[in-house]
Amino acid sequence: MTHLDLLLSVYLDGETTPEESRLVAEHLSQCLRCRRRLETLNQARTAVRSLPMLEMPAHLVPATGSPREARRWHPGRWVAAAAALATIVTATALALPDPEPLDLNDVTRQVGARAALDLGANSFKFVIPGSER
Amino acid sequence: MSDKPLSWEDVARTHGRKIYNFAYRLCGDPHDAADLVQEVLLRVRRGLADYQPGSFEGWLWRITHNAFIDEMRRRQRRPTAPLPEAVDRWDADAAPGADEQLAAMRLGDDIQAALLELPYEFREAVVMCDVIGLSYEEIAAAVAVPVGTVRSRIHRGRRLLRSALSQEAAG
Repeated sequence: MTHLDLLLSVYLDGETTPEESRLVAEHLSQCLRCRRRLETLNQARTAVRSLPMLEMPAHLVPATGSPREARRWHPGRWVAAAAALATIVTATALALPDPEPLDLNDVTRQVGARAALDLGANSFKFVIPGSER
Repeated sequence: MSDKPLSWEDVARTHGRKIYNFAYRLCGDPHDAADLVQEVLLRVRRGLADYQPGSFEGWLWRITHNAFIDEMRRRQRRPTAPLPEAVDRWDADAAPGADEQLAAMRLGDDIQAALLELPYEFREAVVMCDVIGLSYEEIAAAVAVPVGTVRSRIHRGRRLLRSALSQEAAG
């Protein structure tokens, strides 16, 4: 007797052609071994089909916007971001005017201090009114 | 499908759960499954502009299959072990008593563990058929193999699965 192993799963799934279905049904009516095999295949099939359908994590479907590429780790993006930041800092530094030379008269006017020559130390010192003792 | 252009968000809402379950049953890890869903949705988003109306399911599952294969290659985790010798044996032939053990149907964890023991091609075909509910023709289109190959993979996958479940029940 020629058994129909390969067709048994196909038969279970209803994927056989009409001619194959007729052959399998006819064979099963005469073959205990194939009926048992059909049953074991059906048990495996039923087991997998009994697995619950899991819920997809909610964060995978954002309400709006694009797929969450940003959630993934992309080292290249950090390198690009660091390079961009360095460029901005450099450009800002170049765009700012050079600092004006320090003018003692301006300083003393702005802070209300006076410059005095300390002969003992051979240097200038700033004296803020009220701080002298 | 309606005439309204499909957005990736539509795909995520209508098919995301199936893709997630497909990935989870194939890899057994919720984080890896979530990563795969994201990758598939990104590919869908990129590919929608070029999508030609037709078998959307076939298109989507082909993307999913390719994304999973690429991910496995990237992680070098693709099972390469030869098929076990027992694949062509029917250990339940003379042991209908084992059916009773199976009748006390095992928990999902046992079934998941047994699934993960299958060679990848068999596992994928079984999951596409019995978890996702794709037809043999749809599976063949997604995986790019003849329908006859799908028939064989599902059949042999179920036999191996049944064998693995029997061993777990006996152990």
